[in-house]
Amino acid sequence: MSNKAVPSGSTIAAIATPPGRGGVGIIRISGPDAISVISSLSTRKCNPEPRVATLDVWRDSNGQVLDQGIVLFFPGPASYTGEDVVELQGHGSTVLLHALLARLFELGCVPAQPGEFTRRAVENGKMDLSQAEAVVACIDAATVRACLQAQRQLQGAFGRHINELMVRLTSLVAHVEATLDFPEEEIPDLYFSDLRDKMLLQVVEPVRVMLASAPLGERLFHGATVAIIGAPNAGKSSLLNALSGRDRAIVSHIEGTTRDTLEVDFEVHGIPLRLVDTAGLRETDDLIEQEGVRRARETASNADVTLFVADATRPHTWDESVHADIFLMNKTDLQHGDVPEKYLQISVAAGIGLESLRTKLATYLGDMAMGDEGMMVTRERHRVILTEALEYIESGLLSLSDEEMLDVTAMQWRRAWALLGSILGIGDVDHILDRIFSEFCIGK
Amino acid sequence: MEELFHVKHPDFIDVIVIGAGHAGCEAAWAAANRGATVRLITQNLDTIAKMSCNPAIGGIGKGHLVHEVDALGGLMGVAADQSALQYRVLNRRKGPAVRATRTQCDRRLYHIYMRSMLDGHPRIHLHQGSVSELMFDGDRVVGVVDELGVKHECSSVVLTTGTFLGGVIHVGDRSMPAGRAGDAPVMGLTDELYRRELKVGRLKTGTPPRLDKKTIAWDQLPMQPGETDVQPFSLMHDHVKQEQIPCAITRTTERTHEIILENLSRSPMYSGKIEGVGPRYCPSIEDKVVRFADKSSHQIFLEPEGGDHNEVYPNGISTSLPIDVQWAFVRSIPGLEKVNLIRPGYAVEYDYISPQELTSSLETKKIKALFHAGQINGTTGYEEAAAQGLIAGINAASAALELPHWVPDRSQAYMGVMIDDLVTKGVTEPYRMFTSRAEFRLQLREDNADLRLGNHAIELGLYSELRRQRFEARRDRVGEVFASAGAMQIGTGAEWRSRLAELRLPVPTQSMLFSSYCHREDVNVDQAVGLLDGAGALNVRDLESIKALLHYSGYIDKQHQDVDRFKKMEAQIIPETIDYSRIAGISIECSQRLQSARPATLGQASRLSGVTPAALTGLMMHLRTLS
Repeated sequence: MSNKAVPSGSTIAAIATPPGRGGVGIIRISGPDAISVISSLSTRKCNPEPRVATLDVWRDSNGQVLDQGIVLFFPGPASYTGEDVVELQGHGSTVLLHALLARLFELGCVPAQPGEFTRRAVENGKMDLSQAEAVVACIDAATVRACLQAQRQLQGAFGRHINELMVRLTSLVAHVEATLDFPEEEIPDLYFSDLRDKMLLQVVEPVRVMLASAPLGERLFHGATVAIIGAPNAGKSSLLNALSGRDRAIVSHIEGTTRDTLEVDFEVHGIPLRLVDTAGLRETDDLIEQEGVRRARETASNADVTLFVADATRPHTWDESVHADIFLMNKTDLQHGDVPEKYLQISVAAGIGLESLRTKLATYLGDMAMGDEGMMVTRERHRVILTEALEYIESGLLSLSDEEMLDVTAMQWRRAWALLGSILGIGDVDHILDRIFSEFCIGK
Repeated sequence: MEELFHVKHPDFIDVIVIGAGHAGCEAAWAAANRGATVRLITQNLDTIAKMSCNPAIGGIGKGHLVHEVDALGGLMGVAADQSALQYRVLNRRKGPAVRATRTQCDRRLYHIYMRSMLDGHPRIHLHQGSVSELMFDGDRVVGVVDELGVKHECSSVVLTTGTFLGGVIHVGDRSMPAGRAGDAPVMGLTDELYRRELKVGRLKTGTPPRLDKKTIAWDQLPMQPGETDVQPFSLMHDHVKQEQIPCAITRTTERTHEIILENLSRSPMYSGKIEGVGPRYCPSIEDKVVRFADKSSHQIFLEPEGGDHNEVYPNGISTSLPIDVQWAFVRSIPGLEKVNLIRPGYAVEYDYISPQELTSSLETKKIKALFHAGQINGTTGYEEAAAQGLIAGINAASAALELPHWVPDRSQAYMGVMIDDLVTKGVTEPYRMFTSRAEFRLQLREDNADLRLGNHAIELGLYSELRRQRFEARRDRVGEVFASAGAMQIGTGAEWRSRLAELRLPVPTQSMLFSSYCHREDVNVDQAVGLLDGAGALNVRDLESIKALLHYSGYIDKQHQDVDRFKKMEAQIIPETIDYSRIAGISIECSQRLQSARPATLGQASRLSGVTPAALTGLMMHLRTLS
């Protein structure tokens, strides 16, 4: 399939349900000809009633019945794409759906490109860019928490926060611009310290909060890799099984049972994680086990988090030279000596300390309580833009105290505003003048 | 008019300019400088370049335009300097980019200087008359017909009708057709334009009553003197007049506001008689009292209109209230208790033709060789009009002489910003220049207008020999000194120490670049400039240019990157025949907006409101497949 999007005046069609067999298969159609195409496909005399499920029969060019099913008609602009949208819910047969689709193409529809329906929704103002991104995030979310977060963004919570920041920034820039363009008007005295405080409180602080949530937000969707390392027989594989709740790794009392890395997906506090068990770190003559140890070290160095597991009953496994993010002392239900403070004491066998470990892991991955989860930054694109916007705002604050540099401040803040707009896919400069005229009495 | 009675003007002329206001005068002058023969037709030769509103030239954004007009060899700066009553520099303590010059001018002297300059040009021919009709050959204008039935044949026409198109004046419940108090409106001339479906709208503007100077209690009012530490507008002048006339300042009182509110229903603005949209930045006093009800007082400047005139312009109380209410509220203002109103304030409604009908050379898209400039395009202000007139004049002459068109872009001049705003977005209220409209504000300064535009002016033939010499000498002086500043290191050795001590400048702890040195808080830049090679030869104007460059160094470099990006977008030309509905990724709404605005470049498309980044991407991909 070529990557070229189709003209917006055209009517697009695609199978909306995943490939394969199923109870129901859905075809979605959007565009100005949606209704006329459906009329030709069916034997109905009149158009389907908007937003009412109607049983219908669909035929090929020879009049043969292809399938029967439900027609749903959403007239634009009150539809997903903002155009006329029709959904055909037929039987979930790949063959039938493709035959129906082929018939729709005969009738003038063109194949929709990936994401085309959502793209049209953005173009027609049904959602902003951050909401469109949330559609994909929602579909791809691996945990319920990620899904809920994507929903918040889809409902427009993130977009509203960005919008609010832009409104505040506009108001502050308008104040600076008003003093530049209307020096003889009686603009309320501009106290630079006021302006600075407002900017810090209303814009800088919220942006910082948002940026602080980025590590967690991005991990909610991209996940993180957690490597378990440690001496042989310290209980790494048992820990993997316990954390993931699955009997995945072979566990035995024999040292060197795990010789290759082993991965299992699980989640902690709704953060999707890939847990990697590794071969115990020890000197060995076994060529296969040597390779296992090499891989273990490599995995550890690439992981987002490394868990080091030591055996409380065998102090020689308390390796002080190893680099890890979280240190665990296993088997603490058995007889053991004093454990150094940096270790979290657990017992996989007795089920002790695992909840503390989960919390510690989540905190390490950036989990935090946010006053408003709608502010969470979940995409690299948003983080990069917000970071750059913050740099411009701060540069503008630096030049704010110098009256001769006020125009520079205005320039930097306007750049920040434009950057915020690019998160939502909007941007227009007339807003500043509008703001000036609505707030200040200009005109001698 | 019957064909039979028509007579033909004996002389064919390259360019006809209709209207001799601020746009018309510059259009005639620029067209003639470009090499065309010009006939300037006006209803009344005695009101050439009349200042219908306040007697001031310049101001923030506007002063920038005057400098640009002067940099392109125009008239406005020269006439303003010659008729100046007082000068002020606005934003003096703010950055050089937003600093702006303004003069109060002697209205009569201004007219006289303008008239004499036009009279003195060998290729400009003044003609008193009223144009009643345009002549067409297909989609091209080929001449005009005046009220005596005289046919004037020409190659191109510049239309500068100001507020005269369908003009109606309102004072209270009285209204009368007029272009300005005392002058007849223009009717019929544009019938043909309307027939050719040029979009027309209606705007409104207002003016305050004029006061009798001898009936004002001047001794009770605080005075605002002029400033002498100011550079004149024109590169041709070196010094401003030292003798200047002050303005007085007074304020409205609570009583003033009461009188206005009690009589609001008698204002044509509030009774619904006026439909035109007025400018938000220049509201009438009744508007200010209503919209900003929490303000108990508004400032008024009493501006002298001329040395031997008896009229005073009260800036801040434009009104269309009935004359009895004007008397009452003006007399409730301190210092004006016994004032006599010489002329009433009034509102004027007029037609404008949507500037979206124009290409950026200000030629109408539907009628070849017809150019529009000034208030007909929905702008307000003498300076805005002059700037458009100049560009229309250059291009009308270019069209007649088959020379290339020329228009500055947004990164080169405020003129470019204004024209691009107009032709791209159209107007919804009278358009005035503000510095906040310019995204490249730091490099569009008064001090460098000639440095930005002078080379273009020479290429276009707009400079006299004397002006060219003055410009080139200054350009080279500033260029050389600034170049030497770029590479200069301030040292710490004995020689440097004594040089620095001589200028009472601090010695740095280690050697540093001159530009960084100038940014130090303890360095007086005025003094530091003295260190530069060739600094001795610089005049005040040159020093300002150098200091501005040093002031913004770093920031201007960053802005250059923005300019490069902008130029790339501008370089992507959209073919006139484009069909937006056939392009992938453009919503129906966007394609309709693009279809009606018909932007000339990808950059223009990006500045249209409602055109989304997604649509721009689609458009960009499409342009790429075309090339």
